[in-house]
Amino acid sequence: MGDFITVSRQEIVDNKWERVLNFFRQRSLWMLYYCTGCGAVELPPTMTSRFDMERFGIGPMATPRQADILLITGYVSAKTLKRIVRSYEQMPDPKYVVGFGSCPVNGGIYWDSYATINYLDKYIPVDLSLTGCMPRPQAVLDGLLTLIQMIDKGEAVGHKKYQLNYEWYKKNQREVLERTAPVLDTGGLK
Amino acid sequence: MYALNFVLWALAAMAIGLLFMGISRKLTARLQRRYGPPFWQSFIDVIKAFSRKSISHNFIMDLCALMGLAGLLAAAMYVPMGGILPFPSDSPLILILYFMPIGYLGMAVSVSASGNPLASIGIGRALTLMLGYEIPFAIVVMSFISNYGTTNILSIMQAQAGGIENWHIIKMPFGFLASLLALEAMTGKKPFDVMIAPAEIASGPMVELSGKFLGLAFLQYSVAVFVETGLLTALFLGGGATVWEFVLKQFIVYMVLTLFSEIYARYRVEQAVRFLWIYAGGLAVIQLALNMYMK
Amino acid sequence: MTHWMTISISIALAAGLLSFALSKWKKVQWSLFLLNAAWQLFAVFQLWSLKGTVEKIKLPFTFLGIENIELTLVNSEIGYFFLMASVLITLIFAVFSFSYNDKKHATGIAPLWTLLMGANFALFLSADWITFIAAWELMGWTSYFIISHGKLKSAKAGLYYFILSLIGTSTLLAAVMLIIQKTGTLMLKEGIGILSSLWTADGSFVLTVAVLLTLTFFAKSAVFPFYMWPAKAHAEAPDDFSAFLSGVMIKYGVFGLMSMVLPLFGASYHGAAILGIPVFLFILGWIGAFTALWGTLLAIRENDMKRLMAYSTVSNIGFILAALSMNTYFGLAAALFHTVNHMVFKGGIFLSMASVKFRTGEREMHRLGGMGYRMPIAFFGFLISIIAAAGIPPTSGFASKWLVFQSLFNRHMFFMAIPIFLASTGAFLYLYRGLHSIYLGQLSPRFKDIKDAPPLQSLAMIILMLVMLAAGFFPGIIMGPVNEVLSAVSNQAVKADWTSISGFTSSVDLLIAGSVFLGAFVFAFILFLIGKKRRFVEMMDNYTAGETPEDWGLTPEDLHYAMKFYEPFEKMTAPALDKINAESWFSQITLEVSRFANAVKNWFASPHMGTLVMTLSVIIILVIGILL
Repeated sequence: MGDFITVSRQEIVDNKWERVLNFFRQRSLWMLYYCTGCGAVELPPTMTSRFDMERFGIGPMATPRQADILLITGYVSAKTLKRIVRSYEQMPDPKYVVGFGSCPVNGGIYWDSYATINYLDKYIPVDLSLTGCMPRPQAVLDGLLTLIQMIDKGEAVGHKKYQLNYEWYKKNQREVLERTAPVLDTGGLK
Repeated sequence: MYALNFVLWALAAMAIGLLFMGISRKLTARLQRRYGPPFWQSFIDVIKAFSRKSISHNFIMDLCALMGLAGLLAAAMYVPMGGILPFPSDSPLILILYFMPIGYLGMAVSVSASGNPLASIGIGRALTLMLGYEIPFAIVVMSFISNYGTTNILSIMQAQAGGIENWHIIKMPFGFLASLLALEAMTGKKPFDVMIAPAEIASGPMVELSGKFLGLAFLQYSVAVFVETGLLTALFLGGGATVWEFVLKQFIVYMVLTLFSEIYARYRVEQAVRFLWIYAGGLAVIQLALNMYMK
Repeated sequence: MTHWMTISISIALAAGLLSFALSKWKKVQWSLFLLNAAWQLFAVFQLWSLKGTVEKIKLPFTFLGIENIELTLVNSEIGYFFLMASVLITLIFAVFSFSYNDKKHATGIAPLWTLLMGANFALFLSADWITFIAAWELMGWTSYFIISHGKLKSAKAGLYYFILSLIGTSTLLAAVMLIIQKTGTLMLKEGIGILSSLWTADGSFVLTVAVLLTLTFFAKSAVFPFYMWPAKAHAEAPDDFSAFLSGVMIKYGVFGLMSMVLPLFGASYHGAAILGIPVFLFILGWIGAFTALWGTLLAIRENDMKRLMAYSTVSNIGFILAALSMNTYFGLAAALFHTVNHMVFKGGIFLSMASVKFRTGEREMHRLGGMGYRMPIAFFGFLISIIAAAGIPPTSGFASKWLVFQSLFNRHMFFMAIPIFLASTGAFLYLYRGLHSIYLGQLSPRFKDIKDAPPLQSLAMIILMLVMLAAGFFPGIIMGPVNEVLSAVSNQAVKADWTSISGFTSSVDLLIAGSVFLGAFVFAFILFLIGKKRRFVEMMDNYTAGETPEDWGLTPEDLHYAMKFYEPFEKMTAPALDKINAESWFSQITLEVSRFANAVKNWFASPHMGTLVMTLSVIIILVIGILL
């Protein structure tokens, strides 16, 4: 894994004061309403009356500055990765990333494509992964409830991993994003 | 002594506002045949907002975010909850009507300083809408002045004592309808929520607010809810002999506003201003004429 | 020393003429101006205790065969109030101008401005018609030359202003001639007094004189239908002079109305009245309310910052006129207070914009942006000024707006209060737009390194800010002098002490209100500290839907939203604004007049027409001669 910095559990897990605040954070999660891929079609049923995500305090928010959770719903093409990274970096701490579907886990059905990436965890720290293609609303709710429990136990610390291993993540991101540079004449665009 | 008064009243105003917001979310959910969040959800939202790190672009954004909340809190000091005022004054109504804009101006300057054009578009729309709802409300206040010769909100409340037939909702029905429409716009609820418009301008003014700035904006909104429903209660629903009666009436007002808001879609800003001027303004002018010529 | 008034006027005129000779050394000219302003302030302080004194100046030469011309100056109450306010403000402007007119930005207006200050002094203290008209004329043409300041575009704007002001001057001369003929005296106060007792005897004459005088002061103060000239003149004038134009010169009409037209409707008026107000003043009040509304609507659709603020001045004059026409001591108090307030906050606004122009060289609003981050003192000056302009506590603007509304409610003029309220709320729209377009939003990379305003300019702005805040917490600072004027003019004073004012419907204590606001600010600050830390990010790191705008070559200027700010509102009010356009009415009149003049010219142009006209006129004269 290169120079990925591993730290002890004590250093990275939230301390007691953070655990008190986690009580509030777990009950009011705001997800960024950014539909990165094909899995976003499962979000409206989860939010509307039948499966009702809002009773857990989870609601959609418009901009990364206001959001807690970034849902990566579906496969991540190299172009989308650039936008995902920028949105992730614009979110303030503490923030959580949930990978939807099998594609962020290991590439899914597009594992041999030149345009997508296979392991999202190399580029931004993923706290929780939901497998499935696509996970149904029941699975989404189950995953979000698991995330809530992880926050409660103080285990959802992706944002700290990102800060500690910033250079490593940046190196991986740069490798992919260089691939997306256009090879033909761009006509003034970069 | 005054400081303690101030802090308790401010905390009460914020708590009442947040409670109303939470219950209104629950009511909306029940209207949509689902369960909805618990009624204390807004408190959790605010505390969570304060527990996150935030970003700021420059010192103007910090300073004016404070000014926003300060203006609304100063206005809340003059809402006669249960017939008492923490800072006795002769003209609380005028001070409320003039402190609220400084709150909104502070927030406007703060979000403009974030540099996002979407925020400025939202503020431009919010100010245009303000022109729409301030006029009917001011005309209603003037009809009160024409009737009673004073803007002392406590004496207006006392004039409604002695039973429900004395309340101004019965004595001045047109004024009540006009203020209800104006209030729908003041609290930024549909069909007048063009300034937030999440799908159009990415929540408008709140686009770059994060962490404690968002928390301050939420608190500002909750105090605004408290002040505006308090105004309507004191002017038209007979105020309240005790704090609990007052808060109950405020609650009913806010629930009526929520019920209307969940049915309608969003007006464009010029449609909203035209609607408010013609219908709410028309009702208010009728009320003013009635008051002036029936004296 | 006696004869403070004569000496001050002579010093101002002499300094002005001396400045003309020193036109090569601009800094010396401006120091002369500053010294003159300081002397005038000193003289005004000496005159404080000398209220009511009269000074006569015998002109030592014969003029057109008339001997013993005597000019009289009187230290009247209203005149002293205006004089004190204008001299104080001019000193602050002089400090600003001294720093503003360095080598790059110097305009040659210092000698003219010094002369104008002499005219200013004489105008407020004049006791006879000759002095008044002399001062009026001097003020008129010096201001025309100042507005033009040597540029062609500004000269056109100056000419527009001068011609409209000429309408005022001609009606003034007509009115003065009628008054002198009827009353037989040259003294101002006696003449007006005699006229006001002539209502029963010769009512139509007094009404004619009142209409003529009102037209003069309307043209000077840009009331409807003369509201178009500030937008051209204030915008094209040199930046530091725009503050003086909008602050002080516009008030000359208000002074005229207060001291000459209003006393005509005093106790001896028993004519028609609506709700207790004479019909003439009632119409004046409605014109004032309409002007307030119109100025606001026109300001909202402006893109140029100085034009916007000029229309804002028109709107504020509407407030003053509406309050004045209530014909009560309360209305007079409101008008006086708002006059002073408007001087201060308009001065603050224009000086702040002048500072920005001084540093950046840019005047277009949409090309600026983000100046507040680099020029905090100019930003705070502008912010406090617009808070005062919007009439929000804890600044002085709140007290004066409140008094205006109280004076309207006193007379039960609720329907007149509706357009006034619309204008007052609409002020938020254009004031915020100015603030956002110039000082907030995105900072262009061209202006990344500009410095804050130079020290003297900052000093001027800070003084104005402090005045607005002090008068906001302690309105007694201004209410004291206002009450003195009232007790001399009308035997009643507004009940007020240092910190509170009692109105018709209630009283308001501004110190307590201001302290509540400060307490709330401290509370919010404590909440702010409780939250977690914040970090600063740069301006371009903004929500742009996940994209990186620099990839497409997007610069901060492209991300600054300044044009067509209120387009929905403009579209809504466009039909009304197009139909009622005084400028098009005036141009139609001039078109008809020039067509007629051309037709007359053509009568004598061709030989055949000329012969025909001559023959016809000879025949007509012969017929008339035979008949008579």
